[in-house]
Amino acid sequence: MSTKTSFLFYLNSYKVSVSIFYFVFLALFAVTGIVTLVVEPSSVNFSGLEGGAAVFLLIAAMNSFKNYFLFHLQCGSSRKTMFKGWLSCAAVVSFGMMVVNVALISLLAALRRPFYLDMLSIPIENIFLRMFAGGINLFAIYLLAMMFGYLFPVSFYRLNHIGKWILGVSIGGISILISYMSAVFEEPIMRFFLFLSNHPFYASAIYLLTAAVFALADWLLVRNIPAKVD
Amino acid sequence: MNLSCHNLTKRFGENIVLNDINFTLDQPKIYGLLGRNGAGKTTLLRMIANYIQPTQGEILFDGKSVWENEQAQRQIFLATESSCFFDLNAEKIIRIMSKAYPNFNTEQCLHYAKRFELDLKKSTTKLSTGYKSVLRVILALSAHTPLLLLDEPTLGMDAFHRELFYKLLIESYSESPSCIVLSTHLIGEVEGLLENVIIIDHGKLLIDESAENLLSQGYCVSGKISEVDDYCSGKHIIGENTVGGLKTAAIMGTHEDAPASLDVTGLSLQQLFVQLVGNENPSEKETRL
Repeated sequence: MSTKTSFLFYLNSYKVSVSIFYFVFLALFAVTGIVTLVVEPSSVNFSGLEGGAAVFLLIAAMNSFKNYFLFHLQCGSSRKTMFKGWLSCAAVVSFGMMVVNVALISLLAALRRPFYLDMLSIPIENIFLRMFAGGINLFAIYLLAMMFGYLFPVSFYRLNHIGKWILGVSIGGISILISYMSAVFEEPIMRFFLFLSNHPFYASAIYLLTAAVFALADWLLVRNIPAKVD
Repeated sequence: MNLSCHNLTKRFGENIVLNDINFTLDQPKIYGLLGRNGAGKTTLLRMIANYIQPTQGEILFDGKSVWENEQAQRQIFLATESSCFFDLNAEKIIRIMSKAYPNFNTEQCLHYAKRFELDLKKSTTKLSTGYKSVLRVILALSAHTPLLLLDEPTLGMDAFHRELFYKLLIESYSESPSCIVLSTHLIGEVEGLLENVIIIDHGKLLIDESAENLLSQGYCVSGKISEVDDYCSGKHIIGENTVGGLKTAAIMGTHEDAPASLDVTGLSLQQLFVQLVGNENPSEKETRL
């Protein structure tokens, strides 16, 4: 299987799940739109398109390893080809969803309905530059979510039973630690996020850099990964 | 095509699955890879097919390591129980395989599917165990790779499908001879197909020679119990079977003139295999050989 075939195979498998995501979003949007016609618009709030898409991509990436890996081996592909196919697909899906979301956000903004969308609150006067900055920001977040999500199945696949327990407990422990630390360092964290929201290009650069670090970690884990068969 | 394994060892933790295996496959022949459960056959095939890396040693395909070697892997097809095809249907899998393997014959594959009455539209997850095996073998036979690895290809197949598979295997081999490694426990069924036999036991290579040579190392005699017992006295008996007043004995060694009242036939591969690997202590086998 060539990189192109691998890329198309990954892309094809994302087609259905991405369609379902937007179907659900549009259904919710329609319901919200109807509700705002009959009740006081200020009492209705609709938000979460950008964040929801990031969570969706994180989970989708978490399901993009084991079967794909075994299928690639069955097709005589190397781990390198599989990873290149996955990386290209992640970039294209992130970009595609960013484009669709920017289009949807522009549409929602034009409708002037009570929707809360992060991109619209970017402090840039020029609307086109604001959408551009927001688009880059979304792409970087989506790519980061996919690279981070892929790390979980690959790590768990590589580890033995004890290793899985250690990693699982560590993830839980780190999450608790972060929630505790965030309370202690609330002020600097708030300042950092405020900086990110006020400087979308810096934020995008940070997200892209972090995505690159996760992608490197993904590759280091994948490059010699043995096939485990049930 | 030349595949050679040099000092191949595979350990899983403390467990040594394959221990210092050396052999070469360079002729278009049908090889039988035989061994008891857990002997290391599947591990060996997976190492050749880039699934896992050897702990020590190397596998070379035309002089280059097979590990992460896509050029080599496109010339090797492994059909195994663990083959993963997602929830795709056979039609889509055939389409992808035709892009993955340069010599894949789509028309032939569809023809084979028809002969096996495989439902091309049905998701592979909904296929029975037998039909999953059918899918694997029709893909394998249509891939036309110089090296074809078949790991328990007839798993779950009914007798009709097994016969059909053996027939198609011979047809395909006659049309375009390639190196076929057939790993199976159904020795009796494939005995007539095998040209070379590789036997692995407890991770060690026990036998690697032509089936003809191997089977010429012994013979069977059958007749009345007393006459067989008299004839067998002092000979190396590797198996006996008594039914009513008749007895059959498998003997290792050169054939000596037997009385006319005894029937002399060739040794079966299964009889030989059982004798060679039937002992729990591998060290005893080495001395016997």
